[in-house]
Amino acid sequence: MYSVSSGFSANAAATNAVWKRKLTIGSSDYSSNVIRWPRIQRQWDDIRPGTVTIDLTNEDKTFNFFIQDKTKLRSSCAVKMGFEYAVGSDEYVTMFSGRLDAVRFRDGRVSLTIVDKFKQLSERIIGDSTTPANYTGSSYLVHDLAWYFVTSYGGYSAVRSTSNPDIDWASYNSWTAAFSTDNVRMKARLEGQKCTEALHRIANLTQSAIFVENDKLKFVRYTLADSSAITLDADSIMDVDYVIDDRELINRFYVGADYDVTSDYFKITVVTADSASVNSFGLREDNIFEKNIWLTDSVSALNLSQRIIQSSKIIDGQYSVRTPLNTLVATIGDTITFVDSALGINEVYRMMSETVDMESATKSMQIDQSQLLSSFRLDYSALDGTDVLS
Amino acid sequence: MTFILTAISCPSNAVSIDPEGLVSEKEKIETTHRTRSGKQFRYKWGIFSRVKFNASFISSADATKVNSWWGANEPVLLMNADSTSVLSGYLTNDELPIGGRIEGDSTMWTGAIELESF
Repeated sequence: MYSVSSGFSANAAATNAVWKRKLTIGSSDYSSNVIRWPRIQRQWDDIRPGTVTIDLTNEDKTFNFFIQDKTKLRSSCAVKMGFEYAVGSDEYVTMFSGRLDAVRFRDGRVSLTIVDKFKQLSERIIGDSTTPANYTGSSYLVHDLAWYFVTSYGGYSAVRSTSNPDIDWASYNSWTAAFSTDNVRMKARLEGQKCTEALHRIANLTQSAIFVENDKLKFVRYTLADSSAITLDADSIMDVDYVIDDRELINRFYVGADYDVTSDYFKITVVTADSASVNSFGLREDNIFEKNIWLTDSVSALNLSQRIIQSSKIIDGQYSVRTPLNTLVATIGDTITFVDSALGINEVYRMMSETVDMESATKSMQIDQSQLLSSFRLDYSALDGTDVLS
Repeated sequence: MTFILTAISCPSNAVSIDPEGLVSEKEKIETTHRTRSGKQFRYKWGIFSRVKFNASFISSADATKVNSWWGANEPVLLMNADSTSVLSGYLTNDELPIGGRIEGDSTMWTGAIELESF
């Protein structure tokens, strides 16, 4: 859930909510110039720079300051939604924030394109082919590698507290706790890969969500612990699509680990298969053999392959649900109770992506169970017994 | 009843008009949704005002002023005769506001005013 007051949640749920939309550039409010508000899209595992474009009126030459001073392109921008409770008392949720990527003037209008925090990470590389960035001397904890990539190479703040302006410290801290407890270790050798690419590989190898929220990088590994944030039922739902995609199915998965850079081979290959799924759907194989960032031991590799098979051994459908803005406070990763009498559904799902259309005042979200029942577990049953340590 | 139309940037440069068939209206900008159960969500974003009236027997000088305000998107103010503000905004006519000649009178003009709030 977005961090909002109970008053905000109550207002958002109202059928006659008086929403306010706000555009700020630097510390100035330009909301009254907006002609069309943007659609803001976020996905749990899409580690790429996200952009939004906002059309504004410039008949009064308000935005000509960009022509005179190009450094204004470095201004921070934010698009927000919220409420004004009384004069001087308001509360907003930042839907998108970042820096200006482009300003386009046309006739009496101007279009601003804003790009989020991933842009800087997509413009910076780690190592190069002659001097690779080697993290092979010892095995590193997952979060330590991610921290180096974002701070040392990506240039973002290395402040280890909630005052870090670039990294959501609370989420990072929870993320580190998961890997410290499970002792998931990695090595890396990067030869010019971009920071976003390195983060994407870490996310793949750990089934983590890395995304931008409230202008900060958020790191999450979903577990079973969270309670349902909201209920989607006929009172909230405008449209529902349900997709059963056969291509999502995997029932045998290979993970390469302990890569030997010199000899160019993986010393460990772990395989996990689900025979029931193979019998039902036929063999569907996939693998991760990652040579830039890799898991260092068989337990970590087994853990990943089991997690992938657990979530992919059956065809897990995905619902796309469109609602008014009464669901705005729910965000990526939140668990949602979805009730649909037409489809005969009353189950808990997790929100994996969201699109807020600020112009039409709707929120669309994709919900599924791929990251719901697959908490990260050290499962020793395949190695030495039947016990499962969570 | 006589009204006064003036450019906000130059209040002394006013035009007196006797409106014919003055209509004052307000329009809401809102978005409505119906969910599957039939529940209605109605979000109001804002409201703006509009005034429309016909105007006749406008002198050439005054017609020129009004038309130039329209052409330049000049912020204007409509007031009652007692100087009470009726509406401030832009002249939003699609075509020249005071563009018709009065038959038999070569010095006077006629037209319509459409004014919308900022």
